[in-house]
Amino acid sequence: MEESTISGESNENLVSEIPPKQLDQAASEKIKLPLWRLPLIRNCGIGIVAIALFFVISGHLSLYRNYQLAEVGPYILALLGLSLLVGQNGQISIGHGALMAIGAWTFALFQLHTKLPLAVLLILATLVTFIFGSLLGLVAARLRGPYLAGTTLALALGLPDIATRYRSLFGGYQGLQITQPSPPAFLGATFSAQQYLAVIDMICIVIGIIIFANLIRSKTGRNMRAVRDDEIASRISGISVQKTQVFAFAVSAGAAGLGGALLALVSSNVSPGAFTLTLSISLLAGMVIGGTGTIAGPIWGAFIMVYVPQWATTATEKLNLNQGIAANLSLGLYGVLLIVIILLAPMGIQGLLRSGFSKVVLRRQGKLSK
Amino acid sequence: MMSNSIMENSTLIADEVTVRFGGLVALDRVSLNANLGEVHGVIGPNGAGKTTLFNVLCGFVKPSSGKLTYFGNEVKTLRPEQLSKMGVSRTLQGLGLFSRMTVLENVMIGGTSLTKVGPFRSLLGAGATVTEEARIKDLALSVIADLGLSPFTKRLPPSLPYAIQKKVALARALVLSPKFILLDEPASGLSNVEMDELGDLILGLSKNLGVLLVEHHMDLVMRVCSTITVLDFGRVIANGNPSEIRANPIVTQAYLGEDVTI
Repeated sequence: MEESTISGESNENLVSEIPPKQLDQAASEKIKLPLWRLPLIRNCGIGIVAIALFFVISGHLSLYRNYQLAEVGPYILALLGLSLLVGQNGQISIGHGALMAIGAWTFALFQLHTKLPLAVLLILATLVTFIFGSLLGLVAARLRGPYLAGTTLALALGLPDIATRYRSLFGGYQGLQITQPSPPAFLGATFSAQQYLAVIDMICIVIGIIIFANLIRSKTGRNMRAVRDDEIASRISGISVQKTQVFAFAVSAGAAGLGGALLALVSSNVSPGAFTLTLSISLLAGMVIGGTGTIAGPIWGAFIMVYVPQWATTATEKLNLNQGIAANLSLGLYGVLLIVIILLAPMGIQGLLRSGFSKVVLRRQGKLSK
Repeated sequence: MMSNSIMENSTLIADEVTVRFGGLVALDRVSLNANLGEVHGVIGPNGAGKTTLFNVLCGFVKPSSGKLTYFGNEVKTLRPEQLSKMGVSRTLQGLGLFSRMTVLENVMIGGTSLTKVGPFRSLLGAGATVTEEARIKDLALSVIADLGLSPFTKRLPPSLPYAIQKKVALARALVLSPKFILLDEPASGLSNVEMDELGDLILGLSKNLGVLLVEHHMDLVMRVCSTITVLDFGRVIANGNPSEIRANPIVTQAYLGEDVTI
């Protein structure tokens, strides 16, 4: 009985053969996509349009509004990095503020000691932080959960103090001054420095988002998510868990480094006071509020990080309280707002928008009754 | 390249493999010889060392002594991800699926080592990324279709019935067209009907590759296996075809208790 089943002769209909899959190299080379569907071309197209639109819009905004927008940019990049690490790869970092500091000081030191153009300075800041991040990633790949959190926390606490310890190089408490670039002449005399900063931010953000989007749609991004969900299953599927985690950490750090360099540029100064533990923690809060692991989440998160404390301060100022109470009340108001947002949108703002959008679509299709 | 004569006798051989965890001897000079085109069962009471043996065969556990040969090559020092690329694939006890990724993504992960696009090129989203992705996707979709999982491509595993999820795990292990597949308790949690189906599936698989099967359901083991190795306390106590194993008094005594017949 068993013999006949195994040979499959008498039970041909019962035992269906599963053909081995052959790698059809020729077929894969035949896959030709129209040019606009190539991610590189398509994303660059969308990016250029976005930058051009922003260029036009920012021309109609006041100097102050442009400066405010420029303030948000650095956090968007840092949040993109953090969101990639946590949302896509399942690692945690309470040290992204310190990584921003590395980018900021790299930018400042190179600007101080060399005559490199702005773009090269920004790339250098990203690269140095990327390399630092890959070293940190090697450590992180051996640590899990609370131990990783603790290690990165130590980084956030300890690293800014290096600046005060080696004062002659890093500038101590005062930090280092950054020369803000003046807009190139071809943009016209009316083009303000603030608008220029906002546009530089925008270009960096677009590049950051394109890279993030490419990554999460690629094999590498999928491997990151697999490692996040189940490390053992990833290994039996041929994924090197360590390499994936180190790479995620390095890219994440690179984004934070670029964010830090932009922060230094916008505030025309880099000092330890700007990269405290509070920064690292509020980055985590911004990530969760925006929507962890999504592309648009960091944008919402960064706006909340920058604007909500400002609104809270303005609101408490109107109450004519004494200064001590007003300062604490604005912090409290900020906290309450965060709690309310998390209650209303546990998947972050992007998660809320997404579920709202899919409900609308379903209703359109008549699949969801009112 | 491997010569044809070796390919014909190609086997996955564990030779006198011993694994010690501290003072505990989990496997004691265990030998096993699995061939292409047959289903090799590994049975034994709980704690006999079946999963440890699988862990050795797929590279998770390094044996303290003994040899592990795959297609004539010594592979004792290889890591799971390297063995998986060479054609030793496995499923895990339970499910081991990626719970926040769709069925399609889960299966595509199985083919992850097919593409040579490195992480830095992924960042740029260059043309090769797209064609290679399309290639893995096609491959994954055809395995999904073979196993009848097409309706569930876009679903998340936790939203599917257990039997379907087990098939997804199997599909993921099959994408790389392995030479050997190690199935660790594939029938646990399945109904009788589903188990019959699984038996057919395993027999179908064994036409093209070698299957190693750890399983507690004796009906299934006796039906699909051509050779069975019985482990008890980390040692091989019997080895043979199903009727030999059934008739072996040592097996019935040590494994099933004296009064039970199979």
